[in-house]
Amino acid sequence: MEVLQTHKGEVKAANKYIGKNIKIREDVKLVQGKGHYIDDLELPGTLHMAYATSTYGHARIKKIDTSKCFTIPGVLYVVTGEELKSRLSPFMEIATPPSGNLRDYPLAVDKVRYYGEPVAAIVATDPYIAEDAAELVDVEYELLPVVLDGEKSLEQDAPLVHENIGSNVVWKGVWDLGDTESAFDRADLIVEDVVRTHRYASVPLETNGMVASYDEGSNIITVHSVNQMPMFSLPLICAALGIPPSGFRMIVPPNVGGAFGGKIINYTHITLVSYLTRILKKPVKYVETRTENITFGTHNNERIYHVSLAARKDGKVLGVRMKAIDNCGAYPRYEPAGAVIWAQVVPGIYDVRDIYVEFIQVLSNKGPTGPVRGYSRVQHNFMWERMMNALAKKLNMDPTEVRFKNLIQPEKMPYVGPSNTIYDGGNYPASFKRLLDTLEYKKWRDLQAKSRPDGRLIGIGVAAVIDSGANNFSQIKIINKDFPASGNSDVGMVIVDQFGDIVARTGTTDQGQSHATTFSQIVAEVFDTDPEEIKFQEGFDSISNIWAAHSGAYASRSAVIAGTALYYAARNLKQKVLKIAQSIMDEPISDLDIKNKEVFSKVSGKKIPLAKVASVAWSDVGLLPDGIDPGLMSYAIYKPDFKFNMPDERNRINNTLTYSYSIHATVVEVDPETFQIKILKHVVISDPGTIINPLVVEGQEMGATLHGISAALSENLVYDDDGILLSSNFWDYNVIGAKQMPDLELLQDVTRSTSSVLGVRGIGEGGGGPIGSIINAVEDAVTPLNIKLISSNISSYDLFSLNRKNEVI
Amino acid sequence: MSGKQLVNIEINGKKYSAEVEPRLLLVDFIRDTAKLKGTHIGCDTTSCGACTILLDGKSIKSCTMFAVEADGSKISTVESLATDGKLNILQNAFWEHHALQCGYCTPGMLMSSTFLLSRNPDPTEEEIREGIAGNICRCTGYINIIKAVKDAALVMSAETGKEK
Ligand code: FES
Ligand code: FES
Repeated sequence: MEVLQTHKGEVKAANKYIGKNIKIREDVKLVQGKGHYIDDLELPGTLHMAYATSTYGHARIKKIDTSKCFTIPGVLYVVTGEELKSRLSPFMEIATPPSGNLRDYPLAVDKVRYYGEPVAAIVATDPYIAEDAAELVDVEYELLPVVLDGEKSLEQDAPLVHENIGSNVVWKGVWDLGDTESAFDRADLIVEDVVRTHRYASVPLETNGMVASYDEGSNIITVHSVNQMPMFSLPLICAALGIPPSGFRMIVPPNVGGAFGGKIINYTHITLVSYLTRILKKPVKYVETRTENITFGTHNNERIYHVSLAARKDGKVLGVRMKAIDNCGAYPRYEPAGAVIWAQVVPGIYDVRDIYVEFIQVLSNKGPTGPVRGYSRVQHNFMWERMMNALAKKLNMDPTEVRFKNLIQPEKMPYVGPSNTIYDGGNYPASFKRLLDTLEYKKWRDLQAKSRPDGRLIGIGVAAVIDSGANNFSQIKIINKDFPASGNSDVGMVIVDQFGDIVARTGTTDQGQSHATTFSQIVAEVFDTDPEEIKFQEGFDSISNIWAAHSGAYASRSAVIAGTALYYAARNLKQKVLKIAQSIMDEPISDLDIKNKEVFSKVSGKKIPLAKVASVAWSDVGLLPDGIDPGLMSYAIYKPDFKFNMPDERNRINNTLTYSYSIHATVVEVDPETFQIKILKHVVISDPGTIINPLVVEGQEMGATLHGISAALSENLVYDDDGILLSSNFWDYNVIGAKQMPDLELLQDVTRSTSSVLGVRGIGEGGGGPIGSIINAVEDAVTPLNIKLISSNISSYDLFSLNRKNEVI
Repeated sequence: MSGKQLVNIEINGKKYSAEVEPRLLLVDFIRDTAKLKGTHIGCDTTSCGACTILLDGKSIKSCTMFAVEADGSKISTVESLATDGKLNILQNAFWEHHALQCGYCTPGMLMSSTFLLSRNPDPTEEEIREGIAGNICRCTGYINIIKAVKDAALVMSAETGKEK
């Protein structure tokens, strides 16, 4: 197996197919309704599973009576936590003890810990029957006090979410970077503030779904699911089921209806359908309802920051100290990864080196958190953007001026940050200036000033964020040094089949990122052949397809890591083609090249079709030159060199390979009577690095912006004081629609990434930029009302109440 | 469950008849009885529009109607739009503008837009936004969808102009 290290600058600027606006091939089948999504899969004899879920936030289960379920014909099996407790092992935890000892099963065991937690699962011949029967599960509960707030969860007498670990703390750690003491000594002023991020979710339009089937002959369980990290999840599932990984096959269908992080912790459902199919010997299918998806399909971490920021009078930030309390809900699952992943963006986009962070992640009686677009960095980026505004306010400076004072300068690139992250290029100040010019910042400021006497509330906000991509799993070793994953890797495979067709595969999955199109462009570049001619195999299969242990579509890694692997595989294969062609054509290899599926001589002009070489390589193998194996098939596993590959004693590590930035500027107007918030203008500038396909990059940027706007102005998972989720469907949990989405102006300043082989940066997540720019803009708009905002979510109702109470939210 | 009822529904020009439970949702009839999987399900509260189809020419959310209520009606789903694999003008505009990513909302978006354009061949941007207000897309940010519908309207009117 060949493991390749980073080679910089391999693909030069003058690309022929990389960077071209090639129409997306996947779109053709999808506009005809011809995609293959999980819910479309109908295996013969499939049974359907439905959950009965908890109606309380925290309660002891005294008794579960499932006998009534069987009064409905078609109900075949009902399982509760009591049964699972003795048949399954609890899921592995990332954290070490004590919190590593908490017990997590697919169904609630002994007590329910959040509203909507599955307590029983019913399997029936038909999904309607399964849902009917779920209604008949009779649970006797003894109510327990709930703890919902992160800070309250740390109090001495707080109810314990998992009694056996003795506290509600999942993990805590300290980043003591540089010398904050001296920074604070040198400061002209200290700004203290509290910043909170709210709970929301990714809610892809397709919910989580999975179908498990069991083959008795081979003793293999096959699961088709939408899981985003199949090879990360597989060992977790097998350990819970007590079966060897060889007895488990994981398949991801070619089409997944969006994910945005929300399709990772679904391994609990996968484990359960796998358990059931082994008992029932028939395929078992589960597709989340939307209500279930909003209730437990992955929430974003709520976080409270208490920050002190030391600065000079001129706006230069010298140092910052903070305590962050992160609320991960009732079960950590992929957590406490989020308790270190924020550290990918420790200083934000600013040149600040003296930073002290105390980070605590705690449990609560809310739904489980996990990756949500911009996982864990959104919160940290938001904190920086709020603090920059707080500093500006205190100094009576323009918030853009404060940022200019602190942005990392281009001559410092690649910039090794205080925690050893290596920011891989870009010109932040120039981009920021271009953004403000495009927005016509000054014009808006003038209009704001002029219109205030008339009672108009116009506000302007900016936010600059880092969108880190292609993660380094070694950062998890900060939490658990024995955690068996580090670095990152993915695989690419290219075949020239016996008919001369070029076929590509990677280990990653697709959830709408148009991999078939973009990956074909990479292979097309190497073979100098129209991307249309490159075939791409979609979908993931742990038995019949290729993969690396880190394969999957998460953490903005596919283009950077799988793309590089594919590039290497293509390059290697091209060499083999030329070697064989050399003997067929009787020309020196140095004279040969490939173009449009033909091998040609640059000297004699002679050419032969690729199909001819393929026929010799695959079938007419007697003609192969000595020492060359039959076949035209090449694969490469690429492992990036992060340079600071492992965490040191101060938790310093280069946590991801690429660091794209984006800066958002928003102008809002708040209606002085109804407090309705309207976006008048929104401009974004970013540096995605080398672009493979502009349509795809632009699409990701628009999508990430939508998520941010919707999170800031609408989406909010609201629990009442008893821990009941009040916003559990699309009426109460409002994702914005076409009428609320403003027009966007997208700008790009493209520089190659200094860290990635192809020069590309991972850009899928966006870093939550609009959240900061919108909250800053709204606060700016309501300056005359003297309203202070704390949270990452604001509604007209909030503004109305704040104005009446003159409180903060 | 209560007795099954016979329903006859014509979908994309083909007749389907089946004995179904009165509570069977139309979307499940389309997906599971007629086996047309292009129509999707994205919610359980009539909010997302992924299941949008045309029923006797009018756009409806097929998760919000029982199959028995559609007895005797004519339905068009996303599968009816292309002819022999050739995309129609609207589909082509979606492709041209990359008005989709994961494609899960797309069938519903196309059907809502088809209905809009059938009533209003020259919609303003505001009218397009209104026309797809019942359809959620979590991937694209809607902007390219709006562009695609606008563009399709232009191409369609140019084509009708030509015909005249
Ligand atoms: S599935 Fe019909 S509106 Fe959502
Ligand atoms: S394209 Fe994914 S929901 Fe619209």
